[in-house]
Amino acid sequence: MRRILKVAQREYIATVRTKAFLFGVFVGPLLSIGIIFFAGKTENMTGPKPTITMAVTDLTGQLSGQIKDRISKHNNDKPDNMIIYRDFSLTGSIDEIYEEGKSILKEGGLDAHFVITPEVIDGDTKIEMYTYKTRPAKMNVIWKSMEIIKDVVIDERCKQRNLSRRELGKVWSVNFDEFDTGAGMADEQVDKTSIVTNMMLPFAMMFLIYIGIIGMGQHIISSVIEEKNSRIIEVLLSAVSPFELLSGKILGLVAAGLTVVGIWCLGALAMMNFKNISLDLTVNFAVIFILYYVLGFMFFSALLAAIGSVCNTLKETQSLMFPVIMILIVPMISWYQLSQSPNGTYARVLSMIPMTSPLVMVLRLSSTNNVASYEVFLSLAFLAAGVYVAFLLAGKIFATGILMYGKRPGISEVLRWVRGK
Amino acid sequence: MLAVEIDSICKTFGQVRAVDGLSLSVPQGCVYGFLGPNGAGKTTTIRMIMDIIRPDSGQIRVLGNRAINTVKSRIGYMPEERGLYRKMKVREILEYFGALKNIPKNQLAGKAKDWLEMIELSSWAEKKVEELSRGMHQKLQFAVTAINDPELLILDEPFSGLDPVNQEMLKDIISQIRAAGRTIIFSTHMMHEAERLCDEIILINNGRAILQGNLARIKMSYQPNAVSMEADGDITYLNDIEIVESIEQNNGRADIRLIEGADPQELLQLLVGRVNVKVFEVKLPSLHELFIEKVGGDDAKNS
Repeated sequence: MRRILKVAQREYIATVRTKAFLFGVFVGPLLSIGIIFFAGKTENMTGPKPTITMAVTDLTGQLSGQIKDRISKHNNDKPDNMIIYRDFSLTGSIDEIYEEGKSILKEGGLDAHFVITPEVIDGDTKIEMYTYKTRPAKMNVIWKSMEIIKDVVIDERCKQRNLSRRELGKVWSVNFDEFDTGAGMADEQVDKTSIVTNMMLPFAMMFLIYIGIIGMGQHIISSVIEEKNSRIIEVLLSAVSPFELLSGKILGLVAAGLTVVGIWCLGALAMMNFKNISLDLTVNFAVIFILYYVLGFMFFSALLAAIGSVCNTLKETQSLMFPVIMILIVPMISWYQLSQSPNGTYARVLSMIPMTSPLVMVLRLSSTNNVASYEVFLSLAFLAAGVYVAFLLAGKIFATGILMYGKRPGISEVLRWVRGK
Repeated sequence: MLAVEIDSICKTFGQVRAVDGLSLSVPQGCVYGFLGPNGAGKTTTIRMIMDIIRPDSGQIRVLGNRAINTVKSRIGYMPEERGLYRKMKVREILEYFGALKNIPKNQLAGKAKDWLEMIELSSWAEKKVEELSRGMHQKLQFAVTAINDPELLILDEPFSGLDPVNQEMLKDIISQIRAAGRTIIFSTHMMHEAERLCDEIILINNGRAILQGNLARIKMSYQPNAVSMEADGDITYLNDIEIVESIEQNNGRADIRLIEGADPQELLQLLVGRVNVKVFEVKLPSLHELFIEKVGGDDAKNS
């Protein structure tokens, strides 16, 4: 046991000392924070949007002037968001206007052609809007011009019915002032950021585990390969048994992984206190999170160490790693569905299978308070059993594979190691 | 108690019989040489002793135990291919392996320091392993192997890659270790090293033992069949003598090969009175010559 701890200690120090580790601990979260932070700021920094050219066929005769005025005003206020008003003379029949509109649209001389009939003001007939294969970049500005037209139509309708626009506004606008009494922070008032953060929380938690497993998994594989290639493995095995070596390495890396998560959590807590954002986490959850992290990590490390032990170069490991990574990606991709239906069959099944349970159960628990306790216990039990089996298998594979060089053994030979000896 | 007992072990890799019914016993407190050409099966045998690979048949006992795991902390093993953690510091790696081999914590630093002095790497204590030259790396590897003062030291080709000065250093250390009553097994294909150090040897070829036992006794059982001499006067008449097989003259020194079974004293008598003998040395066959004769003969027999 002492030897396992010694190996673990060396592995821990060697891992934590590397530049890659420090990079991962600090740069990773910095990047994600930076992205979120700047996403808000750049809203105002993007620069001019593409201009659009629009035309209105005003069959009411009363709106086009106002629309034109409002558009000029808009262009003055927001020169980045130019809307060009193109006059459409009412020559010819309605059908001819439609045809001409369509052909100009097709040529690109117009981005949108609106046709407003008198019925629009009387009832709720729709305004016809014609476009031709609008590019996504222009959608925003087109919506703006739709807003302007809508505004003018509402004003005209009020005028015709003798209604005051302002009175209507008082009737129509209902706003909410939100306070979260459970927030526990000095300022109870909930702000938008807090809501968004809470929604992303399940994903963030699952992502933490995912990153931990992948990152440290890479490390254990390359560490095993390095020891194999530098032949230090023979010197090591003259002092410790293969099982002691395997356990020690995994233990050391688990410790390193927990260190990373710990630093991140401290950082998150600090940020929460500093910026008054409240998060819905309890001590219970934290304990369960750590359990899943440790067990999930042990499970995958054992698997990856076994893979590393039968390969001779990092390149060879990639084809074997692929299925493992795929299994981890499945919950990552469907995270939103899972967080919206945390007690649905899909989520419940995935949270029981040892390979996906660390990710999915944590996601479920951070999505809702209604996960049955027995399910958590069951899932943890399965995972623990899975870890035990993984260690047994990995131990046997590791013990033999680590000293084999040359051609990679096939599946049948590996199975023989597991069964025989 | 025997340090190592091997009883008829065999190991086959695919089509190749790497080790074929090998048996040997290594008494405690001796220096035991595994000799043989490349590919003879020396490293395979050593790996089987260390339980790195398992024999297909036969038994091995190390320090009286069949399961080597229980006695690993009393053994020091240096594999043929050197390897240490490149990014670790010299002192750290000594302490790490010392700890793995159960050296108590309070003695670790002291032992590491002592060994660094012994291999003359004290000034490199805080440097990383990757900064060492090959010879230094090898000396460090040896220190890592022996730091726990093991009862049994197993070294696979310890002298390969060392310059003469470092070879001498290693030989001195091995002699000291032996003087302290420890057992040392080492493999080599360089006969002059073995000759100077070994008490007992085994000569392996094609996975089989073709010669084994106490080195001195082996050499004595082979008749001295060569003489190295210096004399004033003409000795060409010796060519006609029956017992003389060949004469090689170099700068006044004459190396004379006698036929099998000849007595060098006869030659001396033939010289005294005819020439002025200055130097007359009866030469036992060197291990090198024995090796060539035995291995050559064995290969000829098997081809």
